[in-house]
Amino acid sequence: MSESAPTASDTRRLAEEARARVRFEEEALELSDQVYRVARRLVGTREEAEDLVQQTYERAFRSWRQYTPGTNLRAWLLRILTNLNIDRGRRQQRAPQTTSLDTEAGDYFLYNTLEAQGENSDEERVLEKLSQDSIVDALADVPHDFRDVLVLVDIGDFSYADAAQILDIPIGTVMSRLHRGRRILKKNLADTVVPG
Amino acid sequence: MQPFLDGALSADEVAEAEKHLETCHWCAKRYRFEERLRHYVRIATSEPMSPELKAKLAALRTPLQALPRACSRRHAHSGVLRAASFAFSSGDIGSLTATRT
Repeated sequence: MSESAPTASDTRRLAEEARARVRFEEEALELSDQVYRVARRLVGTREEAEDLVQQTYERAFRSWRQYTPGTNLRAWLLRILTNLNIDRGRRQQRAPQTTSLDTEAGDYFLYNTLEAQGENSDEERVLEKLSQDSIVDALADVPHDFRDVLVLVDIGDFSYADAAQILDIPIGTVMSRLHRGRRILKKNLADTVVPG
Repeated sequence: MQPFLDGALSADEVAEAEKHLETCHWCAKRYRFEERLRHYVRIATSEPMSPELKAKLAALRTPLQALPRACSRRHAHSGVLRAASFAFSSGDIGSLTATRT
């Protein structure tokens, strides 16, 4: 038995690692719906989103040892995804990098616009004027630096801290981009209600 | 208002904001609007993943035969591994959860 002892512990270690690996893959796959939902709004088309998610999982499964169990796996996956998205040259995407101040308006611009349009000022009613397509388009037209933060926080439900880590930017930048991104989104939405 | 909506305020700040919203009609209306808008945006932009992609992702998993034999043979957990593998290959995440609990 003295000779077989190290082998047995080796076997145990290997089995342990295999179990950890399977567990990691299971947990990562359980999050795939949420990862896809975010990915779909970070890029312009469904095909791009599918490619991106697939590449993300390929890379995640290859480098699974770099993940620290017990930490936020969803944020870890999104970090891979956003890095891949930058690598694949998203600069070609349709939204321009910079935006001038005239594409922005105050925080309550959309509210005021919608309210001014209707005789009743019920908050819920006012929102019914926005179609699903107009919301999708308005979000897609937000320049990507702002949209990334907006998508992670408002659609992905990530905290400021998680978004900062995923995008590798300071938390203050997350907050300011979020603030501006939301203003731009609301201006875009208001433009769909009031053409011209 | 934005940090309040994002759940990024401290407990004291939340209490203060809530107190203000109770008495300030102007802010309360805009708060409800912002909250609803955020919900609308989330729902409107939500697009489910295709079953094809889901199957592709499941196929990326390490095949069971690539894992050490001890993992699937000697250990009590092997049943869980096989069940997990089966559940994923059939593309049914729900049944996996059921199998594990």
